[in-house]
Formats: sequence, C-alpha cells, structure tokens
Amino acid sequence: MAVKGTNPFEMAQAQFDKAAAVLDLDAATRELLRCPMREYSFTIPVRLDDGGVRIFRGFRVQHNDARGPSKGGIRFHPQETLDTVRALAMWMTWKCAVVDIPLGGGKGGVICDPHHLSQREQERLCRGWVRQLARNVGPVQDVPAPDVMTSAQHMVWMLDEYEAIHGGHYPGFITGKPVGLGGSQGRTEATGYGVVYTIREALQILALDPAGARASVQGFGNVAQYAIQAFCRLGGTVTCVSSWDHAEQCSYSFRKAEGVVLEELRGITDQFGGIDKEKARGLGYEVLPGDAWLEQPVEILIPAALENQIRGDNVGLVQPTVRLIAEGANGPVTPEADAVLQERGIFQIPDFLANAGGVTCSYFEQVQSNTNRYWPKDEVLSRLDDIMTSAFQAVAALAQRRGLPMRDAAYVIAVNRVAQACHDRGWV
Amino acid sequence: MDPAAHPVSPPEWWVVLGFLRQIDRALLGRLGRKMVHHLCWNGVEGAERLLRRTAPEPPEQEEDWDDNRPLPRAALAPDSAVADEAFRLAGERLGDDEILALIQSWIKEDKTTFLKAAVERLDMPLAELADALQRFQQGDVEEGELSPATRTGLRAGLARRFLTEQPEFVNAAKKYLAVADFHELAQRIVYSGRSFGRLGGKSAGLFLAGKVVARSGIEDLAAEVRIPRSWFIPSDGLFDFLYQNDLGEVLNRKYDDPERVRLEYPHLVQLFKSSAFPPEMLRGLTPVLDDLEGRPIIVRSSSLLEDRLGSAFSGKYKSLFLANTGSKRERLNALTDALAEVYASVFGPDPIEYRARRGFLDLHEEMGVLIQEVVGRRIGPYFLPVFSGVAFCNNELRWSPRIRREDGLLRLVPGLGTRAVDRLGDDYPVLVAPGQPGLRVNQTRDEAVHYSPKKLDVINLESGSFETIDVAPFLAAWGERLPMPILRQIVSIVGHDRIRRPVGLIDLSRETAVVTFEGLIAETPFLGRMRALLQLLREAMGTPVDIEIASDGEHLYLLQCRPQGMSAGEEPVVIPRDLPSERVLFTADRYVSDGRVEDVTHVVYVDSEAYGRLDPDAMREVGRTVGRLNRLLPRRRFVLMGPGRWGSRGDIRLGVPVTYADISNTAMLMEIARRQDGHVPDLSFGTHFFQDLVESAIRYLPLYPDDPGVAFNEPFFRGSPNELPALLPELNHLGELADVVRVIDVARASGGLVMRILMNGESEAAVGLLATPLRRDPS
Repeated sequence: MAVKGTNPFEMAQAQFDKAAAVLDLDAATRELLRCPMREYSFTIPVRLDDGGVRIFRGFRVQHNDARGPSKGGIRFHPQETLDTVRALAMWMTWKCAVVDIPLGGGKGGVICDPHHLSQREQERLCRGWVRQLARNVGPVQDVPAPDVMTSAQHMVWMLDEYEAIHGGHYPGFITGKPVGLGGSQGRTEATGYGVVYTIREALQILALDPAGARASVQGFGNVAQYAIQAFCRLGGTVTCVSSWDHAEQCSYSFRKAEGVVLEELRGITDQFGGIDKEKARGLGYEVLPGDAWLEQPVEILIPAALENQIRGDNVGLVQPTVRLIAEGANGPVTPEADAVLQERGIFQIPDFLANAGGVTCSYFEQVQSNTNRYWPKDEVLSRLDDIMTSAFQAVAALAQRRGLPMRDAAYVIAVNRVAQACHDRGWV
Repeated sequence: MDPAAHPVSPPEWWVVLGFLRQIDRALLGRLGRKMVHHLCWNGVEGAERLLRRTAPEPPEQEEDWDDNRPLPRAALAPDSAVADEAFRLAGERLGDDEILALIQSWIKEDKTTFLKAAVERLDMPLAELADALQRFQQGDVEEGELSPATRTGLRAGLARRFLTEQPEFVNAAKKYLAVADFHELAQRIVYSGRSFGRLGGKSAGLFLAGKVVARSGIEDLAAEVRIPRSWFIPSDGLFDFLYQNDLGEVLNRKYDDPERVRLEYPHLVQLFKSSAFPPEMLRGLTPVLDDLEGRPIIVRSSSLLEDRLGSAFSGKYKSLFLANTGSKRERLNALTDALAEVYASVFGPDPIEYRARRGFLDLHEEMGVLIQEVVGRRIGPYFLPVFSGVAFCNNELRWSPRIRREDGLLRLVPGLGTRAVDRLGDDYPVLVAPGQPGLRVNQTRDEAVHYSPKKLDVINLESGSFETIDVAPFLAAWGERLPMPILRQIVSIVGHDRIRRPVGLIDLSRETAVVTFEGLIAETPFLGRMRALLQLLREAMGTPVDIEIASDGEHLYLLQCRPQGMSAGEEPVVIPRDLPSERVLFTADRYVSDGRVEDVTHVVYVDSEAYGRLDPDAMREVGRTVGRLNRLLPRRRFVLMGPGRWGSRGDIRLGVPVTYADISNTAMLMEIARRQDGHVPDLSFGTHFFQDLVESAIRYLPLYPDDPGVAFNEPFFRGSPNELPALLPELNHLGELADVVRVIDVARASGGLVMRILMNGESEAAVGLLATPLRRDPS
C-alpha cells in the first residue's frame, strides 16, 4: 500500500527526466520537452435535446510537433484534467517517435460523461469542439483520433464539421474513420500483428526458432486474436489463451498442449471475446482458472488484456521456460514485477513499442487520406511490418549497445529523436 | 292549461298519457313522480306542494328528528292522482315538445329496469346477466338516451359484476366502458350456467385499457394499438373444476406446513392435470379453439386477490404458452392441460407463502383465466413477436441525473415478452426512458454489445414447445427472412470501431448484428406512441400504470395494463417523521427511487478521504478487497458505501475499481459525492454495470453528505469497530487497508440493531436508520 505522491503529468515528467539524464540533454531541450508547446483550454456550449444549454470544458494539448503534426486521441471523460491530457500528449510524442513515424504528440478531451448525453448532444459536442479549434488543428497541424469513450462515429462528426468550416475535403484531418469514409484497411489487425512483428525480431535476438516457440496469451479480444493469428503464421504454437466469461464475471484459461486453433475458438466465442467453456471442452481444451495463462511452460507470454496483470504477488508464477514477454496491453506489468522479470533476465518488449501498430496504422490512414489513395490491406500490413521491424531493431540495438533494459532504451531512443528534431530546427 | 280542453286537438304527449292511463297505470305513476321531481328541480311554482304529496317532509320538531328512532309513516297520495296533477302543471309551464321528449326518455329508461335489476341482483348468474345484456342490446333503447345517472349506475354495476370490485378500478371503468362493451365481453366469456365469478385484475385491466385507447380520440393510438383476441374464464371456474373432481380439500392445503406444501406440489400439479374438466366448460372452450385456430395461445392467470394485494403479487402464478397445433382434440387437450396447471399454481408453495406473509392466507384465492392469442409472426420454425416489452409510467431506475421519474421506462426484448417482464440473471433487455430517448444506458460500442439481449423466447411450432434460443444463430439463420425495414429497427451493425444503425441493405452473412432497437427508437413513431399511451392510461386509470406490449412487425399490441408494478422491496415507502437523530445514519434527497432495503447486517464503508490519498496500486487493492468481502459477507444483507464512480474504467481515482463480480452479492450500492475543492464530483449512477444492478435487483442510491439539510453520521461509519482484520486476516497491507475499507457489523456497533433503508421516489427522500431486525435468523 502506498500513498499517491504525484499527478500523472508529474509522473510523465519524471519518466522523461530519467531518459533525458541518460541522454545528457541540455537544460533548454529538457525545459522544452518537459512541457507541452501549446495548450488550448476552452468552453463548448451545447444545446441539449430538451432546449437547455450546457457548457462543457474542452482541451487540446500539443506536446511537441518538431517531427510532424501532433497526433493523439480525444477523450470524453467526466473528470478529465489538463494534467492528465498533458501527460498523455507527452506519451504520444514518445510513442510516435519510437516507431519513427513523422508525427508529434497531442491529446485532447472534454469533461463529460457520454452516459448522460444523447447521441445528438454528443454530435453537437463534437462539432463544438472542432469549431473552437478549427484553426489550430488539421492535416498539417494536429490530427485527432478516437480515444476513451469516442468512436469512429465521433470522428466522422468532427471531420464533417471541420470540412464544413474549411469548405473542402480534408480526410487527413482526423483518423479512426470508418473504411469507406477515409479509414484504412488493416486497422483491426494492426495492433495484434505489430505485437508479433516485434516478437519475431526478439526471437532472433534470443536465438529461438519461432517454429518451436510456444506462447501463452492473456485475453481473446481484437489484439489477442490477431496476435495469435500472426504468431501461428510464423510457425509458433499458442498453447493457452485466457478469456473473460461475462456470465460468470471471471476469466478462464483454455489450454491445448498441441496448440490452440484460432478459427476453432472463434467459432465458439461470443461477440465479446468470451469462449464457451463446454464447447471448448468438447473440442479438447482443458478449462483452467483465469490466472493459469501466466504459469504455462512456454517461451513467450503475451498479456493482451488489461493493465496490471503481472504483479509482485503473481510474478513468481512465471515459469523458468519463459524467455520473452510482449506487452500487447497498456501497462500489463507493474514496476514491482518489472524489476523481478529484469532480474530473471526475461526479455520484455515494452507496451509503447509492442502495441504501437495501432498508431502506426493511424499514420497510414492519414497518409492515405492526404493523398486520397487507399492501399489494399496487404500493403498496409507489409508497410506496418517494415516500420515495426525497424523500430524494434533500433531499440534493441540501443539496449544492447548501452546495456539498457528494453523499456528504458525505447524511451531514450524516442526522446533522442524528438530532441534531435528540435535541435535541427534550431529551436534549442 | 287543461290539454283536454284544447280547442283544436290535444298535444301528442296528452294522447300518450291517455293511452298509458288505460294500459299501464303503474308506468304512468312512475312518469308522474319523475315529472314532479323535474318541475321541482326547475323551480316551477306549485311543484313543491305536489312533491310533499308524494314524499311528505319530515316533522319539523327537532326532538322528533332522532337518528335512532324510526320515522312515522306518512299517507301518500295515489300515483295516478299525482301524475294527473303533475302533467297538468307541466302543460301550463313547459312546451309540448319538451314534455313529449321527457316522457319518451323516461319510458325508455323504464324499459331498462330489467337490466338494472339484473346488475344489482347478486344471486343472478353471469349467464342470466349476459341474457339481460342481450335483451338490452336488441331493444330499441340506446345507451346514450339514458340519463347520466342510469348510465353510470349500469356501467359501474356491470364492471363490479364482470370485472372486479376494486373501487378505484370501477371508478375508472364507469367512465370509459359502455353497456355495449359488456355485451361484447360476455360473448367471450367461457362460463357455466351457475357462474357468478369475475374475470380478475389482469383481464379487467386489459379490457378497460383497450377501450380507453380505442376511445381516446388520439387517432394514431386508436389505429395502431390493438388488443389480441382474448377469451376469459371467470374466477369460479376454478371451484367448478375442483368440485367436479372432488378436489375441494386442496383449498385447505395452505394451512399445512410450508415444507409439506412444497414437497407435495409436483404431485398436485399432476393430479390436476389428470383430472377432468366439467363438460360445460369443455363445450365453452370449443369456440375459443375455433376462434384462435392457427395461432399459438397463452393461458394466463388473472387473480382477484392481486387486486387487493397490489401487483406485488404478480408473477406468482403461471402463464403458459401453447403452440396450438394438431387436431382439434389435441389442441383441446393441450389447452385443458395448461388450464389445469394454471389452476394448480394457486396452490403452489410460493403464492401460499407470499399470502401468508401478507396476512391474506384466510381468504380464498379466486383466479380467473385469460386465454389470448400470441402476437407475432412465423420466422423459420419459430413463432414470435418481433419485439416485446414492459413499459412503466414512472422510471424507478434512473441511470442519469437528467432522467426524471416521469420520463418512464421501457424494457424491450426480441421475441416473447417473458424476458422483458422478469429480471434476467443471464441476459439484458434494452432499456429506454421514453421521455428522454436519447439518454441511453450504453454509449460505447463495447457497452452496447455487452448489454444487448443475447437470447430470445419463442414458440417452436415444429416441436410445439416454448423455447429460449440464442439471438446470434437465430439472426444468422432466419434474420433475413424478416422484412428489411423491420430488421433495421431491431439490430445495429457492429464494426471494430463503432456500432451503427444499418442503412439500406443488411448482409448478415458478412456483418455482425446485435439487438439494440436503435432503429425502432430513433426512426419510427414507436417511442412517441409509447409516451402517449402511458400518458393516456395514467390519466384514465388515475394512477401510474405498467403495461406489456408486443409487436408483430405491423401493429403494436397491448397485452396487459395494471397499476404500476411494485415488486417486493420496490413499493414507495412512507418515510417516518421525527426519527430520533441517534438512529439516523444518513438521509438523501436527490435521485431517490422507491423501495426499501431491510435487515442490513453489514456495511462496507470505503472512506472517501483516505481513498483519495492512495496511489493507483493501492486503489486497486481496495477494489480487490471489496471483491473478497463480496464473497464473504451474507448475500443481500450488506451494503457498499464509498466515494465517487464505482467501477469506472480507466481513471480509477474516480471511484473504487470494481467489476460487477466484485459487488454482485450486495443489497445496495451507495456512491458518495463529497465536496472537493469547492465542487461536488459527478457520480456514475452505476452506469458501469447499471444493467447488471437492474437485473440482480441491487438498489442504487447516490449520497451527497455535504448538501444542506442532509444527515450523514460520519462518526458511526468512521468510528465503529472495523471487522476487516477479523474477516480477512491474510490480507497484505492489512493495517493500511483497514484505514480505508471499514467493515461494520451493524449489530455489534449498535447493540443488536440492523440498518434499514427507506426510499420514497415521489418525495425524493431516503433515510438509512438503525432498526430492530424484521427477520429472525436461524442462529
């Protein structure tokens, strides 16, 4: 039990300071990168369905755009704070930089609970947000995307308002759009596939043959399913998958020593990623408790469900066979467990590298939208492979060269790229 | 004027009277008395004197006016003499046409005497009453020609005889039901010649509601809202059945040991099923089968006790679906089998226990039966409504502070309404507030998918059985058999990045569809119609109502209408005044719904201030601890109280990070909003697992302890002994956790009392207090 000390922005700054110290950055660069370059804080009056008006508070933070237009989501959150948005904008700068895509970091939000707003009110809120920022965002300035409680639908409303204001078509203003309305193919697969592209590279470093490698996956949502698909295509075997059972409100692990069959499991999965236990047994799966995925004798663990799943209290369950953990989810390993895993020499692919396939595909969407030419899925996934592979190799090389854990190396390389761009532009 | 001395010819009315004088002097006398009263009422001079001759005034001496002493008999003038005098006076003061009209109207009214007598004579069986109605209908008297008093008297009497004696209902019925309606109703009653029964609450409510809608003058409702074809068996059909089979002794089974009742009930059901129905009833069921041929039917109980107990009693008896296929003999057997089972349910352990608890055990249950066509259409091998639902005038489950009580509530499901009526343990109906249709419980794609109905109840016409099937394979196999506009009303298409209402074609072989009813809600007049219907029925019944509806894809059918349901524990509660302050643990005056939570033995109190100081890991530890307590504490006997938005995903500083599984056994969740830095944070209203709370009947109440005029006994919650260390001694960081999570054994903290929470939505008032236990535990 610990009492909280800092707010999220202070925590993000502390993380940056650690990387800056490794890089020995000068004071001006540190000062520049510790704070967002631009912050917009504004009100959005919205006419409610019952005729009343409610004023909402909106934000947009552009942390750094030295490497390209800011990129980051828009959150609808009831207790949004500027400091949360600042921290997340900074995180986006590093995430785009670590995969070396020409984008900066941004984040936005509105203090609201969409549960208490109708769809029409949410549409007016989206349009109001764009009206307030129409001159400060756009394909060459700052490109928003869906985030907490916002969806492709919100993006389409925002795009429509932006285009109405500017009198033209600017699909590159925003990403996360539906396919057919400026969205990109491959977005569904991107994160899961990206995780496996980095796994493939890590296996090379660990001198493990994918064909003989076994993996255990936590979760059976989008990321997990496509990670399993891609890993099996590499020749690997996934021996265990866990999924959330909505009826019983707990998770179960499904084990098949000779390897789970994705299509077979999808056939007995409800719309929420819940696998039918009885049918799974019928197909020869062992049904085990939810945590069993963690204690499998495999080479690779892929936590692809929730944050804080490998903790101090359960890290001891990780088997000696495990050589690699690829963080498909955000923050699945707590700092306490992270220290233990490092001590044991287990190779970790940190979340903001492993799951950067999503933001990379957003970048592709923007490129396609700006050129008004849309790529087939194969092309998207092939380009994704190129980017993820290069990004991984650069981080791994730095980690090896400087003797850094992968997580630190990823931070350092990202901060370095941004600092370099600021220097090159003559800002500092 | 003396009409007889008229110079040319006497007026028509005088001729009529002359005729009566010769053939019906009694009628002439009655007309004369009416004319005296008419003249008096109109202040005609001389009429008062005449009135005194027909009904002398009481003695003027005050001492003679004694409530307890019989009045002396007075000598009355003969009727014919009074009549002559009255009409002579009328001839002087009223116009000829007016007198003739009055005479005609009174004669017609006099011709309804037989019906009035039939209605009032309680020893007249329904069959004879039906004959009287038939005679009235075939006569030359229109109901509109009767005086308002006669009309009202007949309607009220008929409602009492046919429907129910409940005064509130009769009061509404007499305003909306015409005599002709009862004639129509009588044609659809299956009764024996000796029947004196009534139809019971369910049938009565539906019959009245149907007429209210038809006569509303609201064109859209009158044209679109229909009542399914229905037949009725009066309440004494049950007794006929019992006596026919010498089963009278079961009436006393209710006094047996409850365990014995439970044990013997399955045998009783079989005994009933193997018993014979009276031949008269079997004959009566023939036209029912002819009328409903080709349609599945539902056999529903319609209890008379329900009227007395309020609808808290509902759902205790059986409703059975029949495919109604096969030969007529097979269909009759299936119908009588279902009737027997419905009758047996009167003697089931649950209703008996319930009646015993309410003090109604000594009254005989009288139960009518409603036999109704099932609304719907054939889709593949199944028969089902495209949607069904239950609607409530008052919304007692508000998921947003913007929803007002009067915005109402609608629970919609695909298929038969059984899944909308009952709380579902394993599935969710779609919830809508008709007054605030835009404010949906589920906003994100994931929420909409998670909380969409995943099962539906249908009648399988091939196997002849009622079945619960999964929505997804049903849609995949048969969805496209539905007309596209109907399908678009029911489902939304799930993409990886959003959920959307379909436009144009739907390809269920490529697209994933879930049931949301978004199209129905957003693009059709359905919701406006529901609002108008609820409003109309609330006004007609003089009370908030709940109704059951179903649609076959073309029309909306009303299946039930009754005073708004009060499930046990959800009745409005009178909040006592002047409670001793030391007994009050908290009060609340915002977003309160009706109900009570009794006999709370434990409180899990998460201290807002201490929680706010924790780091995220420690906050998660608090969530896990609540989950452990949920498994440990007595089910539905503990409440959870704590800061902010429970179950908030993402930023867990907003509230205790729990999932529904961590709170599934609590009786109530109370979110506490303490003032911070000058503002009060928004609460979640349980939105993160709102539908789980609803389906498990877990109550929700927001508390605002810093509001003026609100009580909050912080010393009790923070100062009572904390049981956490004793309950979970194995916890890591136990010492620190115990500062945040406090488990209060109410009895121990208060000297043997329990916590009781009383809530009244109408007055927006709730109180949590220390009280003596209602329930005695076996220990």
